[in-house]
Amino acid sequence: MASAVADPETFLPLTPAVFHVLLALVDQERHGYAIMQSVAETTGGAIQMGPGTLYGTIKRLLESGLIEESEGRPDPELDDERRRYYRLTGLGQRVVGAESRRYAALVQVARSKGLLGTKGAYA
Amino acid sequence: MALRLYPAAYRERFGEEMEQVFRAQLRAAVARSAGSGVAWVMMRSMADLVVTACHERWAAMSERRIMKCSSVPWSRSVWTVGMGLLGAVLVLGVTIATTLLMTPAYRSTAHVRVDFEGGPAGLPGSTVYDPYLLRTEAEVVAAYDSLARVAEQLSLASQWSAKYLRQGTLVTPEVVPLLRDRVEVVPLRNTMILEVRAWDADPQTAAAIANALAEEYVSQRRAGRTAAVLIDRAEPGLRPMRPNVPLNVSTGFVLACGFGLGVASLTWLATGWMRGRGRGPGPMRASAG
Repeated sequence: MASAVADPETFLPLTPAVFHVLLALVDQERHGYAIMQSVAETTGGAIQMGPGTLYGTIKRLLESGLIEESEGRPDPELDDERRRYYRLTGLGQRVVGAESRRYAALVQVARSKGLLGTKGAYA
Repeated sequence: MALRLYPAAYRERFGEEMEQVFRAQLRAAVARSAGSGVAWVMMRSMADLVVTACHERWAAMSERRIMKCSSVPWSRSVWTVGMGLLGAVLVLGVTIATTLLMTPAYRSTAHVRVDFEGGPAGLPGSTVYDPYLLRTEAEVVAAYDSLARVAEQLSLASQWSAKYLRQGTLVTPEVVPLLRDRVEVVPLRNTMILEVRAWDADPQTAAAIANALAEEYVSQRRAGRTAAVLIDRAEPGLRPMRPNVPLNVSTGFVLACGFGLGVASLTWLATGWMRGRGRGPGPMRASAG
């Protein structure tokens, strides 16, 4: 069980699926399908998570204390079905922040070596 | 239906959500394109479900194994000590059983002094000791003909036929190799004495063989230039040379202690590994998959 004072660095490096799920929850809480859509949108369709991968990831994130369940409610954009929403915990925010900084450092190194062109990461 | 591949606890927690997501994906696929999009979504989702279901099943089985080990009423120390003791008792038991099952062998020894005509080197007037002379005489003592005559004299064929054959009688060419395995002639260093050793399960027979072989050699040398004198007759042994029970048991005890310690160490490491599998940063790290 992750505690509030757990060191985020111990969770790094994150798998791509985990990182994108956490990223999807940074700005707002979402339900499962919305997370899936957000990941596909963020990556330009390069990462398409199936329900099995998505909820396997959500399960592990819940167990690690990086996300938590929010109040269930219908999504007005979809249908009237009641859906479970998820949000980042304090630890989850620190972890996704730490991973982002790690990626930023890597990008800096790649840029200094002239590896980065003008195209986007998922192009 | 595909959700049935998942463990029950997982299905109960996430099953409904997964169905919702799947339905939403299908609706989106229908809205984007016709049947091909729907088929593609279904195929991809099914493959994803099968793969992740296998993973969840495996994870659930591993957790149950860890829980079983963790919930064992005995502590890690008890397991370690218990396994160590069990290993030690096993080795000691095997040692004792082997010792008890071994056929005892009694050894008897006769001593023969050899007097060479030319002195210890076989050369008149020389006092130099030549070990090869005595070594040669040792081979003469245990030569085939000598053994054959001793076997006949002691009726070893009939004795050993009852022991080794269900029916029939051993013949001399068969008895001599058996006898040769039971005798040893050793020159004693820096002396002119040959030690004639014989083993048998019966102490009387062992003594008889040693004495008969020594006497046979003495009688062979009677007419020659080398004389031999039986200076020490073999006596039946009071205790068997083999198995050496005190030695076997003490060796077995030492081995048992070593084996027990080894098993205890492995048990300690194994229980620590099994119980530690769920801890740590968890499966979030890329390196842990």
